[in-house]
Amino acid sequence: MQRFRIALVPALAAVGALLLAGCGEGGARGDSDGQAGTSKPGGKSSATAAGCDNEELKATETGITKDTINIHLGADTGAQAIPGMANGSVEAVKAWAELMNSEGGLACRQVKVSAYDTKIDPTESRNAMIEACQKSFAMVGSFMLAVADAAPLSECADKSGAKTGLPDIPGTAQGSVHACNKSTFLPAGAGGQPCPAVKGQQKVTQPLAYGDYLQSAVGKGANGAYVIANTSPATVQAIVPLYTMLQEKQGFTADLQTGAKGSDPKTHYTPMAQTMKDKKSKFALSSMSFPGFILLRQEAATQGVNSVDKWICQATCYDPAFVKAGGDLVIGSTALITHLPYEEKDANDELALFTEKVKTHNTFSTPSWVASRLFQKAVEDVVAKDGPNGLTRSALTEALKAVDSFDNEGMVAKNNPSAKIPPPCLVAVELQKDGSWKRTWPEKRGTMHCAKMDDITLDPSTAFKG
Amino acid sequence: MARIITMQRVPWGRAVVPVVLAAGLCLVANAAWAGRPVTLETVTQLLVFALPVAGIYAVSATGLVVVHSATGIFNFAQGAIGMLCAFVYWELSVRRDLPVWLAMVLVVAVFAPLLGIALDKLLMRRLKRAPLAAQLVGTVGLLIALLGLATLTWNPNNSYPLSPLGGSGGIEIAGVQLTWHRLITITVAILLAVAVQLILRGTRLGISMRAVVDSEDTAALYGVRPARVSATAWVIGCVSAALAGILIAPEVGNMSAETLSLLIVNAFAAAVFGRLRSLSMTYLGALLLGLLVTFSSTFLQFGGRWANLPNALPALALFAVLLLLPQATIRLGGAVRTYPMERLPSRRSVGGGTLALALFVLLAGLLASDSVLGRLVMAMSLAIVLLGLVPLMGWAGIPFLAPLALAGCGGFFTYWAGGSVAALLVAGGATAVVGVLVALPALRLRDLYLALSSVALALVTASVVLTQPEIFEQARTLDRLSLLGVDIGDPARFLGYAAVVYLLLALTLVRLRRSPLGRRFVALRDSEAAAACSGINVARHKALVFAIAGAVSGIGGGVLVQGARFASSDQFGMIGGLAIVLSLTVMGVGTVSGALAAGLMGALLTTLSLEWAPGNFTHTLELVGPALAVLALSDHPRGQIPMFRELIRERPFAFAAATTGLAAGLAAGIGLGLPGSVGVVVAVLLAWAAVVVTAARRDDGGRLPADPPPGGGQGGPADAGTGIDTPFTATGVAMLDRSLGLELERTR
Repeated sequence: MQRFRIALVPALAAVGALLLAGCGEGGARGDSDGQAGTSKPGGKSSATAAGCDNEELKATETGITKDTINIHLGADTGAQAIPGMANGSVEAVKAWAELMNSEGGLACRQVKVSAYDTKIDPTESRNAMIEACQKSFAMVGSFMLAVADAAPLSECADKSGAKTGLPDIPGTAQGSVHACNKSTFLPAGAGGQPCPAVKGQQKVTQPLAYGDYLQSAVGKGANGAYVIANTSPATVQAIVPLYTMLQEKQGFTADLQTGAKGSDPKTHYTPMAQTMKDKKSKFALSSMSFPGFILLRQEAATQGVNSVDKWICQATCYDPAFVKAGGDLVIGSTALITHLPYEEKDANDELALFTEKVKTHNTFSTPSWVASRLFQKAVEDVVAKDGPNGLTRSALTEALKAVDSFDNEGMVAKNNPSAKIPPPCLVAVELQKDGSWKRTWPEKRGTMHCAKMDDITLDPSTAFKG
Repeated sequence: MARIITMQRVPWGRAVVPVVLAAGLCLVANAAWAGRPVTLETVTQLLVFALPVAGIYAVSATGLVVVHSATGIFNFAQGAIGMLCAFVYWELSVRRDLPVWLAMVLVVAVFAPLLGIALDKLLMRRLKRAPLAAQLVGTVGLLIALLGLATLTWNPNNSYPLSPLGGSGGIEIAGVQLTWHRLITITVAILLAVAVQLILRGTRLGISMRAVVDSEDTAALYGVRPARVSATAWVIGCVSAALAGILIAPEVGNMSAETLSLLIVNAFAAAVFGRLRSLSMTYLGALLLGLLVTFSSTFLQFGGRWANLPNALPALALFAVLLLLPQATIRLGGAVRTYPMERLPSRRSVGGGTLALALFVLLAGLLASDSVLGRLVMAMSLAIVLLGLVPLMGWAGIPFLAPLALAGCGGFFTYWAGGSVAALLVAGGATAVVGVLVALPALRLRDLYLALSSVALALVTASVVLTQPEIFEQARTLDRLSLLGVDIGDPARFLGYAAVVYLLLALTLVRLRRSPLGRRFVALRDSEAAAACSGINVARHKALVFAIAGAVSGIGGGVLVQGARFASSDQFGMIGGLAIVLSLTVMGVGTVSGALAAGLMGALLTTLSLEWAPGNFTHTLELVGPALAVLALSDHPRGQIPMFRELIRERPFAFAAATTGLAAGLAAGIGLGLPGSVGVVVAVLLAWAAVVVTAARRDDGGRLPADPPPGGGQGGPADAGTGIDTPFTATGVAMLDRSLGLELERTR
């Protein structure tokens, strides 16, 4: 079990940068290559609070009474190795529920949140789904890294006994088992692997935005190091398509492509640093969680690597804990994120609301908040069409399917929650001396860089050699 | 005078293994060559890369060797002790801002020795007399408990940066910077080895330590004080661990408690290379291991199905070293038994147990929620897996710490055969064959080395075998199970199905235990020499017991994946396997009901912490519970179930009082509407009080007494009425053993 917990956190790092919605317009293929994303001002309150007085509310579905809407989220908060890991997700969903309730509720009812500790355990993740099916209307904002079976979601029966599936809007979905589930909707996108999952050679959709960033940061065709979180086949296969795209289609050569896991000591990085020094690597791109990235930087500094212009970490570095752990050595590190930086809350009201209502700002809380807002939108769409007594699981599922573009008021990049591909947009932020993050690309505040998507054909299980 | 020329036979057989290994290494290197040129510079760089890695392995392995040489215990928790000391060092030097030298002195010279004395007094001295398996899993329990303690004290989500000693800078060799910290690590490792070697070989204390390990009674006759020697040994062990922890911590990402605690596993190969007694050979082993690991990362490139192979290199090295060790000889001498035999279950108790299980399953199916039922299904599956260890560890006394490796094979075969009920038969048969293959090392390895080979097996299976594309590289999904057209995928029905499988296997094992074959297995445990002299084919019986273990655990793995409806390599990890072996050993490794109790314990704790009594109390219980388990193990090495059986038999009313206390506490908590955690606390305290009162009134406290009780207890040694008019107790058995001249030998 243990290894799930370390193994899949780096997978979060790999997919985390792809998680939050891009600004591709119209979903599967963004048609704005290189254009900045847009952000509109305005957070939003519940649109269903008004007009509830005249309604005689009914218990229309499992998890819905005349007074409450019950939602569940599974979150890895109690794993022994990393206790409290996904606390941010729970906090975000509860904060959103409090906001709804303070504004009169959702669909004329109060929102009740039940958090289930899934402990980075596949059995408990399954139990969370089973319990949610029995007690709640939907699963919202979950952060479960160890989902190995999504059948309890797809086979969940509604109040009438029909197996409509349990609507599931998670903060993240690791692996195709969860992502490809028919009743799962991903506002932050997925890894781009085909659904249903296939083995062997396959076409994987990846954004070109990463290559655009590298081109602007280190120049076209630069050489660099690719370090992959090698804690399990899943963590490797989550990131290999992107790295292969960068090398084969966008011309960024690899001085080394190698794996590392969280338990490797610093000495494991010595040969890597030596290779980077010998080949004068221009960049280092890492999919590891930040403790591994810090070790890489420390060892590189020890070995005198000074050719690297950009040390690039994925979204998990955009976290105060990274700054504390890394100290002065990690100043100048770049994190690639797919939402507006928290520092730009004055440029976007929804972002400002999020930073005000939720204390923890990291790769757990942000996607869970966004997931909650997508749920809210779908419920409001159902209510607008059929009234507050029209809420059923199948109606919610249909409403979610009808959302083909969602950016949470410009806070994240636009994406189609049903498409299950990575978001096409990025923002690069760099760690400053005072411990704050500053956007470096694109330069304009409140925007994201959006690019086309492209397909790459490979066998993810054999493409990695390291 | 003519010279007599004796022809010595060339030990070609012993040369085969290293030659095969070397050839294999060359083939792998050729296939996975990354293309880096081999020049004088790159080879020099390789050596420079390898030195710090070897230093880490050496300093970790030193503690293992020291502790084993001086106490006879192989301490799985050596790394965890170092981890704890490293965190205390961080607390003093970083958080409290003490000077580095002062913090180091306080940790190495004050905290570590005190910790060693405490561990020795509270735990190790008691574990010393336990069977090998109990010792090993006891130290695993200590590892888990120390991890839990560290997690409670220092939140893993926070940062614990620790600067390397000596600052930045170092010396450059072939373009590679060897930092001052790494040079200090290597130097300290060498100095530590020299110091420990001098102590062990050149001082009275060292000789006393070795004498106590060989024979405590004999050493005591020569004026050695075993208690003091034992404490000193653990002090030295903890000081070694503290040094290792402080030196390794800056090399590990964010001072991860788990990484620091488990890094020791990679050093096993180095320690075993030195036969757990020669530090110079241990250091050579560490250097070779460091070279191997660094060679792989520098010159080789593994991809695809072998991407995880570099992670498994230390475990493969451990395997290789164990295979290269000289073959163990059969131990001669008197019969060896260190604990009383479990009574064979009577037909009445078997019937009662079966009824109780059936009732429990029925009630659970009717009353429990689906999530609780899901956990009970997992518990029942693990119970079946652990049933496989009962004949292997409990009867034949073969220490085996990789039950989930066998279960993983069974899970795969079940999936491959279609996942149906009939697929379990295929899984059982195929995993029995795997068990026989696993038995091959067992034929030439014994005791601790056999246990370590099973750890290597667990690591290699989890990281290399089960992650193959044909097996569980991707998680596999299984369909809902049906039996004769009836859907049993529903959790309640599946629990019934799993219980039936458990019962069938358990009853078969009980019958086997009563049979001559079962008695032959027990004879293996008591004395292989005597068994061989009695005409028992030791090799064949070992292979047979491994086959049985494989079959049963394989079926358990099949039920596990059927119940979960998925199969992935993460379900069969090494650490999870160690934890369930700990549970089984605590509950009763020689009894089939021990396996069930061990499985249910995990489900109970999880349900308590998630549903019935969420909160700090149960969270703490989850984390430090293993420590309590280890204490229980040291008192009752054959497990709690035999102890409870004796209790029920000897003091039925006291047992009823304890059970009533527990039930009353829970009922009071529920009836009064107390918060879940308070109710649990009340229940546990009431039951504990009842057990303490009861145990205090027992003749022997569960241990074999050193002297006969005053007044004879059960009469004189030759009392013909004993065993006829009055039932045997542990005291009586001990007296009979003494009068029959059966030695009670301390387990190594």
